[in-house]
Amino acid sequence: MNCQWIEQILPLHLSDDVDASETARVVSHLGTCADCARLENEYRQAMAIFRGYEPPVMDDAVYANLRLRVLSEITVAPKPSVFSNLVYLFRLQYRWALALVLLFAITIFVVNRPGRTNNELTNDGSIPVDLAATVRASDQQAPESPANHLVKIPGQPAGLSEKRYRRATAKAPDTKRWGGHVAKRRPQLIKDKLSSPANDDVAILPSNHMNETQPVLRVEMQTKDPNIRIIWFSKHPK
Amino acid sequence: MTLAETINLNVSTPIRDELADFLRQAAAGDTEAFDKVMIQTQKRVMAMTWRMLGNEADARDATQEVFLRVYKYLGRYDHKQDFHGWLYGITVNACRDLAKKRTSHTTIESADQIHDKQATAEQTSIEAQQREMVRQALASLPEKERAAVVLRDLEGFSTEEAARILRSSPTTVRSQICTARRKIKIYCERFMKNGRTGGMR
Repeated sequence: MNCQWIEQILPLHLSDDVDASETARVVSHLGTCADCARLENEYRQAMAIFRGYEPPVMDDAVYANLRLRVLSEITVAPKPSVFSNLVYLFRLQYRWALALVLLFAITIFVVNRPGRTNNELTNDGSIPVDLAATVRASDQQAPESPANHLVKIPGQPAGLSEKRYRRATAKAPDTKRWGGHVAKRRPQLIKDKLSSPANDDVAILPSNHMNETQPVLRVEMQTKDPNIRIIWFSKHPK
Repeated sequence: MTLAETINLNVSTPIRDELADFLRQAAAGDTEAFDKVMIQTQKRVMAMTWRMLGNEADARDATQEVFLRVYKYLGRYDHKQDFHGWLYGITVNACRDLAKKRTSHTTIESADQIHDKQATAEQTSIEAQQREMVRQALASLPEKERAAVVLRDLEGFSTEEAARILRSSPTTVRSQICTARRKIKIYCERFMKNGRTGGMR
């Protein structure tokens, strides 16, 4: 048996903190090895001195004074509240559980929030009944197509559609300058054009499509692809 | 059942019940009952704090702090739990906190004490020398090892009980006790060789 191993285990052997089998091995080794037996003796002496380390006997007055100080502090300090005990009951594991529940609830809310759901579509992608009825109604009373509103432009054949008229009259720099607001800007451009003295003979463009106060039906349909949404504008069915 | 066990049961059970009653009353805010709890436990707490801190002044302060904490947290104490184990847990923590606060102060004080003791070396008895040696040996140990060895060797707790008090595993505590005993033995040997001036690093 290795003396080094005995040296390692000897401090625990003194208080029987080792297994029964190891104790038997240590005892048998100590019976044969004089060095290890001497080491054990030294340990026992040191521990005997250590265990004799008793605190000094203190006077009862010391304890009485100590209790008095404690009691005076206790009476000054507020009593431990019921709330503090409840807070203690709210232990770490409960905090974790609550945090997980909250996280789960937030995840559910984010996934199912109204802005992201396809309200206009059923699960199979078809249009719901109510919406379909609305769409059919708006089909029956569909607004006049812009192609019906023809504009007469000098030097051009009659019957030019509004769209073509816009293209003909709009200037490229204006379009670029106004960017996304071109649609709002164009009516004014057209009016300017029409009111110019050079265009006296131009027919007045019907203003149905330019009137922004007219109610407009807006139907949105979300496709299965979240990036594609079909938006359909129409004159509101009366 | 032996006679000693019978006597122990007859004597200790009413005392334990009495302490449990006092604890319940103290938890409800009865200061008189808490005073009785202190009377029953003050000597054990003082002995422990003295062993942990090595001087009377700190031991008194630590004991006071222990009882203040006991009163404060008595509402959290589970009455099925061993009260003394719970009390020792608070004591160890209070001693640790106080030792942290007074590290520099304690170092200076112990150096002064060593100097005084050196001057009167011839007059002191062997017993006093041994006490001083053990005090210094304990002071040289890291806090966790000191707490483990004090609970196991001086307070008489088992390794498992000491582990429960220290909120550690029995294996860790066993290792700490082993290391601490080895250091104490080396300290004793050096002390015997070089006189009390020897210190362990």
